[in-house]
Amino acid sequence: MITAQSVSSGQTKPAPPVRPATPASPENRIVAPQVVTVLRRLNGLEMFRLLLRSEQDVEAIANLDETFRLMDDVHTNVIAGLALEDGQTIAAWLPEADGEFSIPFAPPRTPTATTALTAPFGFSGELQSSDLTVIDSEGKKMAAEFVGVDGSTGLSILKLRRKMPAPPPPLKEDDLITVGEGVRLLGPEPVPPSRRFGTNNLYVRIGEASGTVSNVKQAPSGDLARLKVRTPRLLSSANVGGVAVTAAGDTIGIIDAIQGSEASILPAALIRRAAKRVLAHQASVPKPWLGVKGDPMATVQPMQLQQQGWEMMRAADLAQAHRGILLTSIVPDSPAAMAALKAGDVILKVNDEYIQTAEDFSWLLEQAGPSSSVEFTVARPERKAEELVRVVLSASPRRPAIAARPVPSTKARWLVAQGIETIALRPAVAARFGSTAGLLVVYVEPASAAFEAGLLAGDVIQTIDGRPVLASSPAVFTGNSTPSPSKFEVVRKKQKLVIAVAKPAQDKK
Amino acid sequence: MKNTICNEVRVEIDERELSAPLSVAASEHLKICSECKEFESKETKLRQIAGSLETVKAPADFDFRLRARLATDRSLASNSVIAPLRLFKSRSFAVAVMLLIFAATVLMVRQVTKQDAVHETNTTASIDKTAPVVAAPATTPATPKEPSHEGTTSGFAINDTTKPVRRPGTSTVANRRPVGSLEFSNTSAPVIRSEQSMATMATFPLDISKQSFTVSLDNGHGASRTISVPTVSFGAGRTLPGTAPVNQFAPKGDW
Repeated sequence: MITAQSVSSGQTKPAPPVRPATPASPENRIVAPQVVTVLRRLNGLEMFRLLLRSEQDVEAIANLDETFRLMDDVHTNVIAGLALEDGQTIAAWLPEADGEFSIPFAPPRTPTATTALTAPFGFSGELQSSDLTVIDSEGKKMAAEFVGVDGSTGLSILKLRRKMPAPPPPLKEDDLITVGEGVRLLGPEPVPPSRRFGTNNLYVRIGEASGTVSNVKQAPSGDLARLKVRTPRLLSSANVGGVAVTAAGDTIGIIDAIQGSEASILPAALIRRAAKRVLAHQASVPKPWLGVKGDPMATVQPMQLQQQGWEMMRAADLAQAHRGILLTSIVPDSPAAMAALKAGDVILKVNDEYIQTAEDFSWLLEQAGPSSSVEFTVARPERKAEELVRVVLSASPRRPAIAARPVPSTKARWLVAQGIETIALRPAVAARFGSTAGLLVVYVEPASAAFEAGLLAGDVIQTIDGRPVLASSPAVFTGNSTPSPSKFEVVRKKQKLVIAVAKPAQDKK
Repeated sequence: MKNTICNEVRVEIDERELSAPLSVAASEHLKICSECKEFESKETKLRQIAGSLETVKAPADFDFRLRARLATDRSLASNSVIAPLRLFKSRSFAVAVMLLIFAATVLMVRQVTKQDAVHETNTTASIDKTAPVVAAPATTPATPKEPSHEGTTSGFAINDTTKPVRRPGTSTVANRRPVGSLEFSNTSAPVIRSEQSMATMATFPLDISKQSFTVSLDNGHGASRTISVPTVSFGAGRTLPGTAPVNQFAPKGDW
């Protein structure tokens, strides 16, 4: 985990280049039309899916509120977005996009007018136009579609169904930003209750906090990698996603993290690249994956190296140099494992660029991109000479939907393998769905056999191949019984249906 | 000669504070000049009316609207107003035009002042003292303040625009500008309604769910707990309790 301290210990820009620092005084503040508000609504079903994909230990729903309706909205997330100059693309930091939206890291394909307006992310029909609403600086509401998440930056890219009437100003090159420059942090906030609006309604407007640039972090390539903005007061997670602009209203970037009174800003140039990547694929773009864990050498003690098999003198020299990443573990079958990288190795360079910090390493891998070949210069405990190791990066492995759960059951694993995510309903809750105890389907993978067979999110599975799902022995879920399709007996809108789901190829063997 | 003295005395009357005494010379002049005495009487009465109005609060997003309007006006001015003015290359011509405008303004003031009695009735009848008032930027000096965070659940600062906006007649600046006071007190106060705010103020209502998400869960091992999720959240706070925030100061030593 990189902290604010270690980030700021990286390279900083030496001298203020051209633009003089402009304080964000009230006199020269202007409106920033590129800052929009994004509303993400979640209905009950989507909330269950989020719950299932969270780190909560969830097996079954024991009880529900009396007024609960599965398809009614239960939660709205309000967050800032940045409208790009085409008047149709919005970059926003949707907090749970990674868990909430299925992220099928689709292969590149040519975007067309049709794909831009459909749901290429493979949401099984639940993502409706009302789920994502964008409100511009004039208060005009517009429906938006989710295009994908950029794995490297964590930004979600949205597309408005119709262009904004007045396209926002273009993002400017941000390499002239200097330490000490005044910055405005803009984002939606609730308007305090007043007699004018009534006490029962929640009103929202774009709020503002001011601060100054405290650190300008450069990537090894010399590009602007990250900015830090210090404010006079403590910030909170509500500030994440806000848009940072100069006193003149030019976009600096999006707040991607906060720590105390300091905000980390993802620069405008990186936002532009993230949008370009996602729009080119019309889908989520993964982060490049190596399959290692490690520590930057600047934080490693010689003793730690010795434990990894390094001689004392070499360990002392290496630790003193403060260069490279010490690998502490390797994921089996990962690109790193395939290239014979081992725990104890120290990666000194990537494509001839020295690594000093963890962020440098991330930056260099992200610049290379998934499916690219990179050359590492590696120091190893058993050899005195450095070695060149070529590694082909892959896309970051898609997080299994319920992998985060402490002990996924055999049943849950089997269903997930079929592209089905479920949560058990206890009898009292199941009765409200017109069912006996069963499994509530919260997500069906669009490319799966279950989806093609017609299984939908919201169905309650009561039996599989004639056996009650909550009482079945694990053998039912091993998929080894017969090659014929599994028969799912489900309840949909209080009516019983039987759906025949073909088994995946490996199960038929 | 008398006209000159009258003008000087009236300027002094115009510029004095409401409670400040006139100079000895002016007081002496008022004793002998009935016209100036009448002028002074009307001025004083008008200011007292304006000064008696209670303090009102600016709308919460006044500062935001003001800045938006200034930005719009600035861009419009650069395109439409400044260009014709550049035609006034002759300085003397420009001065003459300014004098003409000034003279016309003085005449208007005089005309309005003569209708003092009528205005008194209209003023008291037309102003809703309980209603919030939008002060026109030209007549009310807006003083932006440091952001305040009271009354918000989000992390963003709210610009404190609830600073009371005094009606003309109660501030020094307003006292010295009877023209503004007169016009403002003579106009009924526009009342902001919620539908107006939606249309013009970039403060919009949030159509949030009335249904909250409260669910009792069990882990299959006999332990159960209840999770309750608020109907609305701001920024990147995790919706569900107990889960780590996303991407906080990534990377995490995991590549």
